[in-house]
Amino acid sequence: MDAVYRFALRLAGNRDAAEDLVQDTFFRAFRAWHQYTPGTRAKSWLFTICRNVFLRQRERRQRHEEILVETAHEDPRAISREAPVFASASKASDPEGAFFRSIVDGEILRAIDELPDEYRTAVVLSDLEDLSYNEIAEVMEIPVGTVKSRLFRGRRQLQDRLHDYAVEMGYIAAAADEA
Amino acid sequence: MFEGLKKLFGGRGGNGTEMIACDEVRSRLFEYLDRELDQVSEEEVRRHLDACPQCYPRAAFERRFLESLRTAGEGQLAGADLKNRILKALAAEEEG
Repeated sequence: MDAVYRFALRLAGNRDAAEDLVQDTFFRAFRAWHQYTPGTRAKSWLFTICRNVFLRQRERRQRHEEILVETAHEDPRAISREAPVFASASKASDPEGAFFRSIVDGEILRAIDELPDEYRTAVVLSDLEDLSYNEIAEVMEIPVGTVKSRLFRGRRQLQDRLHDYAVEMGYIAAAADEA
Repeated sequence: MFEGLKKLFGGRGGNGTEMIACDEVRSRLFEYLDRELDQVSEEEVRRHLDACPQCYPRAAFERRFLESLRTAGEGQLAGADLKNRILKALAAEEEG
């Protein structure tokens, strides 16, 4: 239940909404237990239900609003692009990213919460809950290639935010601008 | 020139086989760290990282980053109240 709660918390954004979401998830899972395929990972199945419940609830809430759907170009070639944050950390004499250790967990979770939905879900399922690319693809109903690109973009955005935070807090020096 | 450099770099691997290029390693780095590569591909990346002074710190950076995400969520557990509430509700549902 802890894993579903963590996932719900990242989706819903606050504790009360997350608790309701977890409760709904377990109710639906209970009623749909006959649809669960023994031998598959129960955690993935529960995440799928949790995400579907969340999306349906959100759709109801935003019926009359335009939902911003992430439509960034999913260009797999972009994956080989350099990460500006790494270049910056290198210049700030921390090429191995030790500054990540000094960032408090709350700040990391806040940065995750600020990611666009589709990146956030992929990052949470992979990096907090340790699902494989195939499992994430099933939960999110997207191709594995899209999982890869969303993880890539989500992680890069997170790194940029955390790097800015580390500089702001003085954990690392701001990289000097190149002449 | 690139091919020449690649061969030179391959020589640093010490096993006589040609090493994959830095660009190739960068494009597979997250998959490597996520243990999503097949065995051959994983070995190619590992061999390159062992020898490349540019890519190794990059991999260390990404690994440190992913570790920080993993540990950030660990402290967040569902409260006992929530667990009890759900278990009771499910028990009532089963009886009803």
